[in-house]
Amino acid sequence: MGFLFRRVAQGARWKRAAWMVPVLIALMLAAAAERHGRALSNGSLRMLIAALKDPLTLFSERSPGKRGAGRLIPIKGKAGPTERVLSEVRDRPSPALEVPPVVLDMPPVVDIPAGDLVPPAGIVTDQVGLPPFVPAAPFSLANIVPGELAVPSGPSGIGFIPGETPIPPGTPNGPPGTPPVVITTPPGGPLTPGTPPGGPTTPGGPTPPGAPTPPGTVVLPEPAPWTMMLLGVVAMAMRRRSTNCRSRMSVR
Amino acid sequence: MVAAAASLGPQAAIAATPSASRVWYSAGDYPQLSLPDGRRETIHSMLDVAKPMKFGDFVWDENHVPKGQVWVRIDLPRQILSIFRAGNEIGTAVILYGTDGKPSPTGRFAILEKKADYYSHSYHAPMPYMLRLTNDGVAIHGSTVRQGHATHGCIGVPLDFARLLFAAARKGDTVVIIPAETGPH
Repeated sequence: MGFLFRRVAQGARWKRAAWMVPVLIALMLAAAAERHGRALSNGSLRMLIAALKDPLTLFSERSPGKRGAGRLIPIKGKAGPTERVLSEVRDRPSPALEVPPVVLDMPPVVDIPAGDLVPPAGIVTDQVGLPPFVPAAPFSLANIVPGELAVPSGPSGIGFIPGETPIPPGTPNGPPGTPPVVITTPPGGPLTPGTPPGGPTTPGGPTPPGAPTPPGTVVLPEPAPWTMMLLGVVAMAMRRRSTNCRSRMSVR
Repeated sequence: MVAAAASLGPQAAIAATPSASRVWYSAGDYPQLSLPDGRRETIHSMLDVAKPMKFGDFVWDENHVPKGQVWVRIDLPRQILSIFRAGNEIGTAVILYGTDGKPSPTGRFAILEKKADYYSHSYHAPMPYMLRLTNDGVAIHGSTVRQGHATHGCIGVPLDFARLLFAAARKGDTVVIIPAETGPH
C-alpha cells in the first residue's frame, strides 16, 4: 500500500514538472538566438563602420600612441647579450698552456745533474747580470714537504712557488755554480692525495683495500652497496604494501 | 588569424587572437596612401585591429590575400609597422625606433640584405631576422619591444613578427618610413 502511494506521488511530481520542460527549452533557444544575433549584428556593424574609415584612421586606432617624452632605455649594448656561444662550445685553452698533470708515482729523490745547471760556453751570463737558467722541476705532490707551503723557504722571505727550485739554506741568492739541488722526501714519505698537509700520512703509500681501519674512522659504503640497500628497502616496502592491499580486499 | 600565427607559439597566438577580421574596401573606391616621395599606394584591405595594440603585440593574417608586390610601411609617429601584399595589409606590429640622438632615417628604402641570424659586432647584440635598409647599418630586426625602449636607429619589431616579416619580404622590396614630425598626408 505504501509502495503504491509513493509511486503515485512520484508520478504527480513528474506531471507537475513536465510543463516546465518546453518553457526551459524555449528560454534556452531564445537566449541563444538573441546572443547569436547580437554578435552577428555587432560584427557587421563594426565592419561597416570600419569600412567607412580610411587607413590612416585605422592606423591611429591601433597605435599605442606617440612616444612620450622622457628618458629612453637603449636595449642594445649594455642590456643586450654579449655572447651567444654556450659554455660547451667555448674555445678551450691550448694544451701547451694547461697545467701539467700531477705525477703521483714519481721517485722520491730527484737528482739534477750538475752539468745541466752550468750554462753553455758561448753564453756569458755576467753581461746581463742575470743568474743562469735553472730548469724548473716538474710539479709533483711527492715533492711537497709538509709545512713548506706556509713557511718562507728562502732568506728573502718569499714563500714557496711551484716550479721554482728551492734554494738550500746557506747559499745566498744562488750564485752561478750552485751545487746540485737534491729534493728529498720527508721522513714520513710522500703525501697521499687527499691528506691535508701536516696530517697523518700512511707510510709506504695509500691504504690497501683490505687493511683494518683505524679507530674513529667512519667507513662510507660504496655506491653499489648503497644502491643494493635502497633497492632492498623499496622491495620490502612494496611487498608490505601489496600484502596490506590484499588483506584489505579480503576483508571487504 | 591564422594558421601562420597559430604555429608561432603562445605569444603569437595571444597577440593574434583579438579581432582578426579584415576590412575590405569596395572596388573602385580604394583609398590611397601617400608616400614621402610623392607616390601613392592603393589599399584594398586592412586588418581590423579593434583596439590599440600594446608594446610587443602584433597581428598577422594573410588568409585570402593573393600573391603580389610586398611593401612595408613604418609609421614612426604612430609606432606602427604594416606590411602590405598586393594592396592588402597582412601584418602589423608595434615597433621601436631610434632615439633623438640616433634617429631612424625616413623616406623610401629598398631591402638591401636579408640575414636571419645576424649578429652586430658594433653593439655586441644579436639582430635576428635582419632586413638591412641602409649601408650605414639601419635595419629592421627582431627585438624586445617594450615601452620606454629605443634603438640606435634600427626598427625593432617583436621576434615572432620579425620571423614572419622576414619570410614575407624579399630583397629589393620597398620600405617606407614616415617621419615622426609630420604626419603622412
